[in-house]
Amino acid sequence: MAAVTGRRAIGTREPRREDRRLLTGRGRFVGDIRLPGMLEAVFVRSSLAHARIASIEYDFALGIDGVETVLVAEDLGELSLFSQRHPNLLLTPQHPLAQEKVRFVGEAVAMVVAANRYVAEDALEQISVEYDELPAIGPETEPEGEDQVPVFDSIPDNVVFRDAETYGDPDHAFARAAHVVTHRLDFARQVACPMEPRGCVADFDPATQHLTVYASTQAPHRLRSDLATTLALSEAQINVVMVDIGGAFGQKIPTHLEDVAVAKAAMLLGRPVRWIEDRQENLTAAPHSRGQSLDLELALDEDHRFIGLRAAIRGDSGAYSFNSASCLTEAYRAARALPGLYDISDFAYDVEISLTNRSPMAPYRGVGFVAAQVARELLIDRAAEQAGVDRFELRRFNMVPSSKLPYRSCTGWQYNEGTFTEAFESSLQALAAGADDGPAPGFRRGVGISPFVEPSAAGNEGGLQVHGFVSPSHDSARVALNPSGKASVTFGTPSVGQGLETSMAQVAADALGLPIGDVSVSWGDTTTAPMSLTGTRASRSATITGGAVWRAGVQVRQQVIEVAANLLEADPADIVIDAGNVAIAGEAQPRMTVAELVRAGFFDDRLRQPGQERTFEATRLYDPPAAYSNACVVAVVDVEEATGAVIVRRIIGAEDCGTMINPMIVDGQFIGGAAQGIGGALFERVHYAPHTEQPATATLMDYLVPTATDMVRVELHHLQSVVEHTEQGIKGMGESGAIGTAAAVACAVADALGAPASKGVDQVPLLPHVVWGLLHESTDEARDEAT
Amino acid sequence: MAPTVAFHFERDVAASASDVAACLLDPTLLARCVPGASLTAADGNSVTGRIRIKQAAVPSVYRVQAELDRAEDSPGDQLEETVIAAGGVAEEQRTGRSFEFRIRVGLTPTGPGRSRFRIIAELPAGDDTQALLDRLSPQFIRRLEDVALERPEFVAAEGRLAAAQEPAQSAPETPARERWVKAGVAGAVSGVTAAAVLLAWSALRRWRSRAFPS
Repeated sequence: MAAVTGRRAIGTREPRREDRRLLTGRGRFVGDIRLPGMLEAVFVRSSLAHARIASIEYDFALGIDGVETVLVAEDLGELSLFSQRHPNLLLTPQHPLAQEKVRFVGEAVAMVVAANRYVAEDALEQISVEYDELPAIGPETEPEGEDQVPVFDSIPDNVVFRDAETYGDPDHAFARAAHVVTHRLDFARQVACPMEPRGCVADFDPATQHLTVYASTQAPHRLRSDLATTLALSEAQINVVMVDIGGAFGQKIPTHLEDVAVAKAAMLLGRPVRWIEDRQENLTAAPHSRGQSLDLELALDEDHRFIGLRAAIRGDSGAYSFNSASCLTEAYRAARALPGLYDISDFAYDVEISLTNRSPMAPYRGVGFVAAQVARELLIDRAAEQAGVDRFELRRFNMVPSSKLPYRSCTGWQYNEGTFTEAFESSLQALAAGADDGPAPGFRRGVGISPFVEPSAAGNEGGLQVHGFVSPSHDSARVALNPSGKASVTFGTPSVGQGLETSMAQVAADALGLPIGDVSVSWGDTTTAPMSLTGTRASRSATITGGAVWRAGVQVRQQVIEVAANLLEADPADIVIDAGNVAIAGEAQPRMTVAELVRAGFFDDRLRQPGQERTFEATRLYDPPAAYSNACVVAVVDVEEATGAVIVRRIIGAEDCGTMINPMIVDGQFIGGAAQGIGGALFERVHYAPHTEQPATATLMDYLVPTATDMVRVELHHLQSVVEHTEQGIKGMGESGAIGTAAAVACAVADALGAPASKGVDQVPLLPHVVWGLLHESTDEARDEAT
Repeated sequence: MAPTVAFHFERDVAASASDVAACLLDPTLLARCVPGASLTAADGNSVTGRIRIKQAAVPSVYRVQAELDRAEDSPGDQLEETVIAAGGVAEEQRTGRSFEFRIRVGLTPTGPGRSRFRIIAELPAGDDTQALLDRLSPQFIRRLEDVALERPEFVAAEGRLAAAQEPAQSAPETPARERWVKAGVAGAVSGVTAAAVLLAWSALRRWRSRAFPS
């Protein structure tokens, strides 16, 4: 194969080609889809957290002009979605519309399908659901309490998942420890809160028995498979069309029960049906995330080396384990992520995930890793304080050194390369280089640091390492040259706003030797796009889709070279394709353009050699080995003593994701993640009222997401390891900012509070009243001690 | 026409027989009480409407033409029993199949502000007709109670002057049919007046255009 010439597109700050349409209102989102005869669906949702359904009266709603039907569970039949991803996970079947019982506020009970949204919403008012209320179960509810009725009768103690693992001999490590440090962290429930809530349009053609679904989904092929399974159709009868997506952040990975209900309604009615979630539904009925408590114990020897770690993690599953077993994604992933980039060989965890009468869980950017990172870094700060050593030095001392790479963590994560120490030092140098004007009067300043690794090539091997069980995950891409010499690239991983359209064009351009302007990119639909097994998630698209695009592009380039060799009567090894031109090595001028050559290849049969199949097209699959990016985030915050408000002053990031396809997109990913990290650490909390489990954060007035005024300019520094084992050395980093920033901010707040108040930093988010309480509690304690 | 079978339903109602009777004889109010019904037109005792009934995932829509009548009557709240009869034809919109129906409602006062409601409905025989009535009847009765007790407000919301002028606390004494006649007369008078004004205005314009050509 001819050598690929130097990179021209990869590594450049190519402007995002999707921005023109997205920023000028020309994006085509699922809410923009209009089909002839389309109906609108809205859901009647449970107003109680836990109740048996006594009756549903909907007949008056049918009398409203424009209402087509009202569907209840029995109309849809058995459409349960559940996949058994781990043998310890117990079954919690969930139906698109609740059968017999509701298990969280917001659970869909009935669906109105009407001519338009206005009529449908009016019809909701005419539907009456009678419930026999049951005591609601929250994370703090005693499972054996009197009058308690379990969320599922088949799971009397509500514990839906248990797992305990021991690596090495942590008991021995703790027995010989010079210091043992403990810390507990309660990480609140949060919600991904994408700008565009969930939604879909389903269109069933009774004549052809074909279902077309326009969906705001991160995993179109998976949605297609789930719909085929639940609706008793073949995948060939279903086409999931990918449209622009206004943010997803993990919430749109699973197949939502509403999608199934809408598709079924379209089949029953023989007309297109659209459902667009509103914000209140998204905050209360869409899956949440985080929501766990972590009790950690760290053993240090006399030299302050980490010799043992124990963790007890209690997760809140919500009312169902959900169809992707997504209750595992938080607490279980957190457990396996805890050692991180520290050299710890003796580790034990036990995880228990319980059902509650709250919305189920789904992934959210940095799922599992964010909570683990915050808990571990706060623990290390406490260890430094308890052992009387510098907290930066303690981290530096215990980090996996470059000299130990490749390194396999005790939980099986394989770090082949990385710049753990370099990123750490780089961020500290940036901190020192910045002007330190000190806090204003009445404020306390704090600095927090958070070094970490991020699984970033969630293929089969990566999934196995992260989850501990087989999690198949690969992508395919198709690259085709048209007779005009332009390239079309198609893959099944949707662009959710992260610039995939641009970065994949860059990869394809270099693989083909074309100018980037000659490459068009489409993530198409499931009929035309090659299979993406699990879609856009887990920082995987750049690595896995990028690898598939690269391989397909190189294969097509090879076809071009073979035709060029025939035409130019040259050795294929001497053919050079670069910037859309075909040249022979050593010659000053190119012989022809790729467009001329491809045209000749398509239309001149004399150029075809026996056995050559000149399609100028290739589809390739990529399933990379596991890969881990690394980064370090430093946060500087000021805490206002009078109010407990936290103001973020600086966020410094030093990250290494190997080859950066587009540094501008890497910057954007990190900055966006940092915003979510700040929100997670300081503002965002899904609150449920005690005992009733009624959601109290049902609007964006109550659920606080960070705004522009809460952000600072993120100071970002890039390191680039040479990565041998992924295609083009690419590693993902889409979750990096979120994983590192929340921990850095939490540690900075603890630092600002100082001892003994810092010990009280045991919950996230650190809302002003929490910080104020810690400040004044410590002041009172100090006063008591003085007197 | 499909063979019909008589279905029975009986229930206590938390409203006086006269209030309930007034509702049943008022097509607008009656339409509010029947699950899935909407009124298309009402002319005296004749009612045309649509009723959407869900017996499967996709509801069936029936066009209904009916005549409402008070078959037996006793004045005021002293009546022993009021019997209201209704009969007509329902046509299923999708298939065009139609059937006749007859309904008789008996209302017996059982105490202050309370009555006994009995219904005998002659409907097409079907396996699920009784189940359907069992589902719809309680909803009908509950809504009937609401509408009967709050009838003045409901009527006012419709913008009908005659009902709006009635005292809010007590049930109207005028039988619904009579009120409808009054309302009809008032409407007709209003219509005639409006037509006369329009004609006069039109004539004035024609005269002006002839007298003062532009």
